[in-house]
Amino acid sequence: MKLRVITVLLGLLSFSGVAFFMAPASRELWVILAFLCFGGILVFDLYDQIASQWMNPIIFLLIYALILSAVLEVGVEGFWRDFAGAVFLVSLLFEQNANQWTGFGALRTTLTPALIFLMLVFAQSLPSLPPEVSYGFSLAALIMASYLELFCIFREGSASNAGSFMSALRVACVGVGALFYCSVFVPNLAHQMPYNIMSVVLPGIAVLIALFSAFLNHWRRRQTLFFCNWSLFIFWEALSGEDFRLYAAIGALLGGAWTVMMTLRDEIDPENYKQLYLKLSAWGIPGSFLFTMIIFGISPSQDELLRRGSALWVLSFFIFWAGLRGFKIPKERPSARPSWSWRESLALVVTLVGASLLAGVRILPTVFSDIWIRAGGIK
Amino acid sequence: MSNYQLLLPQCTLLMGVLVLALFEIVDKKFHHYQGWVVHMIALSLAMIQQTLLYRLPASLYGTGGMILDGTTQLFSLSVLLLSILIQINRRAGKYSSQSQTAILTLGITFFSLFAIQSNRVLFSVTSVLAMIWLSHGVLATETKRKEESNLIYSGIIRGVIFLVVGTLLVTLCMSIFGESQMDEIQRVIVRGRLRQGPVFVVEVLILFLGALVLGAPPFGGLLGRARNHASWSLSMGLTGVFAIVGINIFIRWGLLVFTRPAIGVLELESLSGWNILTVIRVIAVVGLILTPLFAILDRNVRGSLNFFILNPFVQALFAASFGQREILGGAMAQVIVAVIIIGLLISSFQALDFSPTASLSQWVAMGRVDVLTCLSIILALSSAAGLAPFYGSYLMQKTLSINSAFAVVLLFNVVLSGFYVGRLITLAFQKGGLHGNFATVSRSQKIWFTVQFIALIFMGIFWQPLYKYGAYSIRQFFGET
Repeated sequence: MKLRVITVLLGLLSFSGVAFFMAPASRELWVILAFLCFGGILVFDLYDQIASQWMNPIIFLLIYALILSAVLEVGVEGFWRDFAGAVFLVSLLFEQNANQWTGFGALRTTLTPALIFLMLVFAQSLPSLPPEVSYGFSLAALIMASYLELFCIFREGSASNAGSFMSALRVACVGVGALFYCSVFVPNLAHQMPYNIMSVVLPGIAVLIALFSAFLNHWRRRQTLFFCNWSLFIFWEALSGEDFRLYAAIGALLGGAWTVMMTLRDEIDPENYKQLYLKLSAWGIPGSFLFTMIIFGISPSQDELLRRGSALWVLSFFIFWAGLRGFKIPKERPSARPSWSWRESLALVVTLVGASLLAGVRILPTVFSDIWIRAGGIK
Repeated sequence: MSNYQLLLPQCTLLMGVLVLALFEIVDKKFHHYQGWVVHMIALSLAMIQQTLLYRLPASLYGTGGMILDGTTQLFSLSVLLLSILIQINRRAGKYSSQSQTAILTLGITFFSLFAIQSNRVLFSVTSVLAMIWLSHGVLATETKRKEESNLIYSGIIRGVIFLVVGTLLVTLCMSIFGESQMDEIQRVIVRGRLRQGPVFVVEVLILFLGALVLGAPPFGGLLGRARNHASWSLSMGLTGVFAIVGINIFIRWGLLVFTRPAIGVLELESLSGWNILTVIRVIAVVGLILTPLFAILDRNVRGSLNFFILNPFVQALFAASFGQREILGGAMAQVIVAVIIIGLLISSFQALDFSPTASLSQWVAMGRVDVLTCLSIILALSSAAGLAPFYGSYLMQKTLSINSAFAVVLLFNVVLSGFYVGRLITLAFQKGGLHGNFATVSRSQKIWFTVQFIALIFMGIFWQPLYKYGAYSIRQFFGET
C-alpha cells in the first residue's frame, strides 16, 4: 500500500514539475490548479481508495497527465481530445471500482456518456458545421461530462459511488476542462446570442436534477447528483465571463474536488460533532467551504439572465438541503468506531478555513483577483 | 552499396529458416527453447538491419525488382515488429516445441517482406500465395489432428483462387503496360495513351486482391476457420501480418501507382478516368460499418476479436483514401499503433490461457479475476476503436476535418466500436461469471502489459513523433528527399 501511495505521489510531483517548466507563462497557473485538485484528492483519500490496487494509481496518474496535457495544448482540437481521454478513463474507473451489478444496459453505465462526449468532440471537427453548432456541441459535451454518474444512478450498488475518488476525479476533470475552455478558448461566449441563454438553461437543468434527486431514497445517490450539479455550477460560473465569478469557480472547483473525498462514508458517532460537521459540510450547508463558494458564485450581477440563473441555483441548492430533513443521526454509537486520523483533521480545518474566507473577502474584496493577476493569470 | 543490400533482412530470415530446418532434421539433439532463441535472433537481427536500411540513398530505390522507400520501410518494420511480438508470446506456449511451426512462421515473415518490398506485381503475388499456404500449414499444426487435412485443403483452395486472380492481374499488366514493375506501370499511365477499359480492370483486380488480403469484411475469407482453434499468437498475429500486407497493396499498388501529387504537392490526383481514391473510400466505408458490426454480432470472443483488430487498419485505409498528405502520414503511423494493439491483445489472452472457443459468457466478470490483464485488453480494444486518448482519435479528428459527406460513416464506426468496447467493459466488471480455469499471470507479465498499454496511451498523447515518422514515410512520394 505504501509503495502505491509513494508511486502516485512521485508521479504527481514529477508530472507537475515537467508540465510547469514546459508550460508558457500564461498556462503555469492552470498547471498549479490541476496539481492542487489532484493533489487534494490524494491527500484527502480518507479510505485509501486510490492505493487499494495497482491499476487505480496508474489510471489516476494517466488522467492527471491527460489533464495537464489538455491545459498545455495550443489548439482547441488537442485540448478536446485530451479532455475526452480523461473522461473516458474516469468512466472506466467507475466501472472498475463500482460494486458488481448484473445485466447490460447502455443507459446504466458511465461509458455511454463518455462515448457521447467523444462523439460530440469528434463532431466539432466537421468543417461543414457552422461555428454556432460546433460551440453548441462543446457546451453539450461539458454538460454530458458533468452528469457522468447520472447514467448509472439506478444501477444496483451505485450508491457507493458517492464520496468515491472516481467522483472526485470527475469533478476535477470537468472543472479544470470547463474553466480552461471557457476562459482560454471562448472567453466571451456568454455575451453572444444564443449562448447567453445558457446562463438560465444550466441552472434550469440543475433544478430539474435536484427535483429528480428528491425522489431518491438513498442519501448517497442524492449526494452523487449534488456533485454532478456542482460541476455544472462551476461550468456556469466559468461561462458567465465575469472575472469575479471565474475566481469563485476556481475556488468552487478546489472545494468540490476536495470535499467529495472529505465525505465520511461510515456511520457517524453521535457524540462526535466533528464527524457530523464534516459529513454535512459535503452538502454545502452554511458554514462550509462549499457554502462560501455558492455565495461567491451567485454574487450580484448587472446581467439580467445571470441574476435569474443565480436564483435558480439557490433554488436547486435549497431542494438538496430540504432533502437533508430525512438525515438521521444514529442514537447509539456504531459498533465499529470510525477512525479519526490527521486526514480528517485536515479536512475539518480546510472546511472551516474555507468558510472563513467569506468573512475575509468581505474585508479584502479583491483578494482572489489580486492573487490570480499577480501570479500571471489570464486576466 | 548495391541493390542486394535491400535483401539483407530477408537473407537473415532465410538463415534462420535453414538453422531451424537443421534442428528439425537432427531432431531431439536440440531443445525446443534453442529453436525459439534462433527464431528470435533471426527476427531481431532482421529488424535491426531493416531499421538501418533507412540510410540507403534514394537513387537506389526503384531501379530493380525490389523497392525500399519510406512506405515499404514502415510496413516492413511493422511486419517484423509484429513477428517479434508473436514470437515473444510463443516462448511459454504449449505449441512452441513444434519446430515445423517455427519454420513456417519464420517463412511467413520472410515472404511478407518480399510481398511488401517487391517492385513487381508478379513477385508480390507469388509471395502472398506463399504466405497463404504457409499460414494455413502453420495454423493446421495447432488444431486437432483430424481437422488438419481439411484446413490444409481449404488453404490450398483459397491460395489457388488468389493465384488465379493474381495471374490474371499479372497477365493484364504485362499485356497492357508491357511490364509488371509498378513504377513502369505508373509511367505508362502518365503518358495517357491507354484505353481506359483495361486500366479499369487492372484497378479492380488490385483493389479486390488488396481487400482480400486485408481481410476486412465482407472480404475476410482468406484465413477462414483455420484461425478458430490455433493459439492466440498465431491466430491474431497472422491476421495482423495479412492486414499489413493488404494495406500495403492498397497504398503501394493502388494509391501510389494510379495517382500522383497534384500541383501544390499537398494532395493526390487520379491518373486514370476511374478515380481510385473514391473506390478505395467506398471499400473502406463498407469495412468501417461491417468490421465493428460483425464483431458485435459474433458471440465467440476469438471470432469477434479477429474482426475487431482490423478496425484500425480500416480507419487508416479510410483516412488514406482522401489522398491528402497530412492525413496520409497519419494513416501510415496508425499501422504501427495497430501492431502494438495486436501484440498487447495476444500477450494478454495468451497469458490468461483464454480458451479459443470461449464465448462472451466466459468473459463476464473477467475484471474481477485479473484486473490488470483485463484492463490491458480493454485499453487495447479502446485503442483499436479509435477512442481518446489513443492515437486513433487523432487520426479520426484529422480525417473528420476533411470536408466530405463520408465523414458520417466514420462517426458511425465510432458508435459501433464504442458499443463493442463498452459492452466488453461492462461485462468484465459485472457480477457472476463462470470464472473458467484461467492461468495465473506472473508479475513480470503484468509489468509487460502495463508497459505496453502505457506506451499505447503515450502514443496518443505525444503523437507528434509517430505522426512525423508516418509523414516521413510518404515524403519521398511527394517529391521530397
